[in-house]
Amino acid sequence: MNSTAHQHLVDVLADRLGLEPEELTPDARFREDLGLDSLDLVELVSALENELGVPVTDEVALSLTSLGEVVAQVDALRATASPAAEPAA
Amino acid sequence: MSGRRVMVTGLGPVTPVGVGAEAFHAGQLAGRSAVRPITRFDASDLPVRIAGEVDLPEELRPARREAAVTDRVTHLAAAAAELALRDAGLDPATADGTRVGVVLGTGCGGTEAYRDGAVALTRRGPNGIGARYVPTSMHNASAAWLAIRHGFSGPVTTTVTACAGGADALVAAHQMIASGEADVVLAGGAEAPVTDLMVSGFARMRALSTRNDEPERASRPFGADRAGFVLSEGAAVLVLESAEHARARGARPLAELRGYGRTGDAHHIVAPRPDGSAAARAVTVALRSAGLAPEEISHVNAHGTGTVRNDAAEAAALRAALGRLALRVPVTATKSLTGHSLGAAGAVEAVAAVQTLTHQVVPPTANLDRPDPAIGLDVVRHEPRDTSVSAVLSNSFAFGGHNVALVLTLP
Repeated sequence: MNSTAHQHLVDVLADRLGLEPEELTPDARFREDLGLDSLDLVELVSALENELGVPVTDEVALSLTSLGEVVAQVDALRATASPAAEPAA
Repeated sequence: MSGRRVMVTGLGPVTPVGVGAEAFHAGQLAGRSAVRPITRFDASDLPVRIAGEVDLPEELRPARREAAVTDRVTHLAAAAAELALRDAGLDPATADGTRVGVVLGTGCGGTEAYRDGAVALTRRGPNGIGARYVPTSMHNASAAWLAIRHGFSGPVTTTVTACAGGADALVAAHQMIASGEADVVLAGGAEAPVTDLMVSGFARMRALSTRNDEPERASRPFGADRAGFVLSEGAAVLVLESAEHARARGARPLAELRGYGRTGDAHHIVAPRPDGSAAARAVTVALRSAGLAPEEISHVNAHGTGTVRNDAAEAAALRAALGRLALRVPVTATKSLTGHSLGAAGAVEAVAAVQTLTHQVVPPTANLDRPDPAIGLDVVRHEPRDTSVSAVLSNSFAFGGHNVALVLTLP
């Protein structure tokens, strides 16, 4: 994921989850450090799907514990995603 | 009234005419309506483009995280609770949270969240709806949020009786304290209906004034030329407390919530019973529960919405319940200043009622240059009236035919 895409993801998550962008460092843990709950993780997944056009399963979503992992997952999913799997905007 | 006495020890009004007890009182005495052109959304293609809106001061605005996970209605409720707790000198950190309850009225709940969710569903399908849709839009979200925010784990509930919700919340809180279920209750109401969905909905009922070119002159309860109410957002929370609890912590009671009466019109889903007979019965029951005779009521804070039918029915109800006193007791309609904040209104007006007791002055009803001669009440107008106030009747009547009358007295 390039730095522009990374920053965009940070901005979207900050907006959707009500966090300060500075809080969203790669190693900040969602639950322990940012106080997020399962609803936030669903929001996070929606944001990823809407913004990046990458489908994310619930299993993957619930396994994510930090922004760094999200970025890694996005890169992995993008590498394997077929255009047909992209959700409608 | 049986059970423990219930005192008001803190006021938290969040209204278009003022935020906080002092500003709200000053705004009422100034007697100028705060209704203005809608700024919360682009209303240019709506038939009604005016409303009462609240400008929250910086220090009472929700933090970024809170703003993202709650609706506007909860932001207003949280601000009102914060003000009420400060006014009561009650620190949630040191209070026994298990003995503190929360009851809020709301007519519409989280209307912005509800509206945005419906739009997302239409545009993007089922997966377009956010995970926060339900917890932000549900009617009980504000009361629950206050409980979470302050650690109040006594009874927490919500009254959803449209325009009587705020008054019903005070009744519920009274019952909790009188029965011993709680020692302290944050009680009030919150409403944030200034959305295209709700303004359009009420406008389609022909319930709203369309005086778009003169917003300040649009809310005219008891006027000969009244033509509908003005929708408003707002909230008010009162700290209610058992007399002994207040005494034990050295709190100064501002008033006593002395009695209440409730009836149902059993008539029409939105139109009031024209003769006001059920509303009159609510007043009579309230007086009886307070142990007061009609002549002992020194002021009436009317429901007074400014619709043709409400004001006529309310006047009939007051004449029936108060007899000759109805001709001379000073009446005011707070909604002439604030607009109609639906489920918050009963609580906002309870705050106004307490302030008439504290300050011994009845604020004027705005825009009453030509009183409707058929009303036959002494509605205070043009300027505040200094008068001796020892017991106030505060009325709330709602879509659905819910009638709630509260009696507040000097402590």
